[in-house]
Amino acid sequence: MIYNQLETYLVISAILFSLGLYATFTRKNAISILMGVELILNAACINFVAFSNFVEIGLSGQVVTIFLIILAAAEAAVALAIVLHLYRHIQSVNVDEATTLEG
Amino acid sequence: MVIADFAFILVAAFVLICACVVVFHNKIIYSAFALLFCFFGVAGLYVFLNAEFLAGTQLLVYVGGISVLILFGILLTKNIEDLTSKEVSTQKIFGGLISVTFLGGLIYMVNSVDWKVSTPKPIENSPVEIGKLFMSDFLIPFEIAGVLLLVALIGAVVIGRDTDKDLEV
Amino acid sequence: MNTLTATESIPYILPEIILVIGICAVFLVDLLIKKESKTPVALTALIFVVGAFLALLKIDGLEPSYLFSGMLVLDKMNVYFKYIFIISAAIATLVSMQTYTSRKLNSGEYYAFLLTATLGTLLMSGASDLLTMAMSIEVVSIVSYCLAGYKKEDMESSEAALKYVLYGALSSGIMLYGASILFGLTGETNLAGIHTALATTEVNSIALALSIVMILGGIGYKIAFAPFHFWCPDVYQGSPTPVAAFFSVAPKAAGFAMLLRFISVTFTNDPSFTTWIPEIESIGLQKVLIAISILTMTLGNLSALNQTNVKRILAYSSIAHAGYMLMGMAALSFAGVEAILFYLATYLFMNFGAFFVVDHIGRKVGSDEIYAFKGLNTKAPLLAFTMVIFLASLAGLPPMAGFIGKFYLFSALVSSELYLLAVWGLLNSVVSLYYYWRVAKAMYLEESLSDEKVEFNLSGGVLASILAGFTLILGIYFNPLSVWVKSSVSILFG
Repeated sequence: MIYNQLETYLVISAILFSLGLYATFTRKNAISILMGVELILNAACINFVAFSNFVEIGLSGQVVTIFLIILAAAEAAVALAIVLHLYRHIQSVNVDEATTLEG
Repeated sequence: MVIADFAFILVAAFVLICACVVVFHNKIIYSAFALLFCFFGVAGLYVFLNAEFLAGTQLLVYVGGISVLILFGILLTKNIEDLTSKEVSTQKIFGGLISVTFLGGLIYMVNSVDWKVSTPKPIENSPVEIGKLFMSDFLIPFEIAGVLLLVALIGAVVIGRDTDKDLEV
Repeated sequence: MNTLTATESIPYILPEIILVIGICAVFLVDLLIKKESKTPVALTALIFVVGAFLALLKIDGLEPSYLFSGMLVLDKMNVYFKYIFIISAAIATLVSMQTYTSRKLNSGEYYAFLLTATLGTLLMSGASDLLTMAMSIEVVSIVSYCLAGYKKEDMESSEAALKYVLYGALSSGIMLYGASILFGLTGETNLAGIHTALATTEVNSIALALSIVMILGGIGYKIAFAPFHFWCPDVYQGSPTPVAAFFSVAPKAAGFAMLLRFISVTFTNDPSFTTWIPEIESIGLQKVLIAISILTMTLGNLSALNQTNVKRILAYSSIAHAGYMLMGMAALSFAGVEAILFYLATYLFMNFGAFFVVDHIGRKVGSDEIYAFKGLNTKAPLLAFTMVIFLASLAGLPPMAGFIGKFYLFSALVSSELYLLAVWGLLNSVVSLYYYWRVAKAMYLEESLSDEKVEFNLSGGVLASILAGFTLILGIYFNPLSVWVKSSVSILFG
């Protein structure tokens, strides 16, 4: 019964976390980096829900996850506004082309 | 419970494959659509974890909100066909090393920890209970979330609108 | 342990409530007032900051308690930090009023963001639950992203905002993942509950170490300690200067408040840092903190050496100062915590002062580079003189406030027998003299490029003098502050 084991979910979330981390380190496109961050946040959410199902039977993990979803939405909105605004300046969404600030 | 197992493996594989496409595909528009399906799959995982209300929230906010926002972001920036995500090879090695280390560490941790597991049981009427928690134990995070969303909304408008001249009527 | 329910807790969060009303009021006033004059909006913001200050005086004497079923806490240390945040919000508002009369910035939202950032820092210092910690950090972060990108016609500003938001989103994601592991290990999100669970049952120390490191990543991003400091110079240089000054003080102090509470409440068995839960001994938390503080101050000071932009120098110096304060954290003693609290109060005045002068020069001369400061002594003697006071204090020279702050830090290290770290910190202070000296030299010993006077109005001069006055007074007559700090170290346990 794989679906009824805590470890399965934890491994899935660990893989999602590492994939997200890899995307944020290697991608140059700001929107791609944001997608990587969304994967990391989803991994954290899966952990919370899995623990609330298997370890601390109750709803607190689920409530925490709802707050994480709110948090991710707010962050994504502001981040995309900033990306769009920068795009108007430099006609690019690649982080390495934003190089006025160096040193 | 062979059928449940089979369904679970399908959903899990779907999530992981989509996540891989998000991270490794060159064309950003494919990545964005893969991310949308990945969120779908995660909602499926929540159903297996007895969190139906959360699965619904995930569909509404992540699939309906955040991925659409990201898609808009891509469409509003330039011609999507050309918009490939550049990767640098040295960073690939560095990033690969870090994430593989984390993956190894986390999987080792998952297996070595003796989690205090008890038998899961579905919680009846969970939306009602969640609502009660919002208004009792989690009242202050709920209020903070209100302020957070207000500020994020206004902040996104302030940053995103074209210039201040537009508003000077 | 004194845990209050939601309705009982409301009097305890009066300053926060006033700030929330203030945010809405600022938006309304901004809508009602015609576009041309923004002073009423700024005044509204200032009134609510003062109101929050008065409310803080009112709650000062209340009995330390857990609020909202343990989500927030009010104790002596928390009140001390709240004074720091509200005073820095007041100074930031005053400085912004100076700045934005000449610049055409649509300032209604600006002041609301400033109030929200203050609200977030107040909540950060009182958060006693992993969820409130994450939420309050996020409030401060989101506002910071918007404020960093506020100069919209300015390319640097939007670039700073982009870097800030990408690093910030990543570090908060990592922190939340760490929090989820801690939740899984203990079945609790409340810090006191986590402590009870850790003290009564044995947990895997690898998992605990991983989760601590990840959570430290999220907090460290706000404090800007290495290796989470990359965003700091870019954001300070790109943001509007009053905002940069606010960032370098309030969220940093809030990060320290959170770090102190997280480490002491979760992992120590008693308030005086003498006994720890067993797993922490094997992880070696002190070694980690020592390593972070050495790395942070060394990187900050070395990178500052060859900078030509004064705002960037101040940014790297603020990283170095975070490193100094982390030494106090690494001492893991009452004396160390006292030193951090004292240092933050002095840092508030000297850093705001230095940024204020830079802001003024930036507006009048049109550049933040060192050459813009050349011959400032002849052009604006008062500004040059106050700037020297701030720089000397940042470098830790007597008789300035910075000296006393450093003195407390080093004596805390000596009493915790961390001699090597103390020596390393001293060496770093000596290195830092060089780059502060470069700015001072440009002002006093070098010829100006132009003969134009740098004019400034009365209120600007008064503000600079007040900040300089505090920097001097706290260096000479520091006894009241240190008495207050001594009475404020108590963190609520249980």
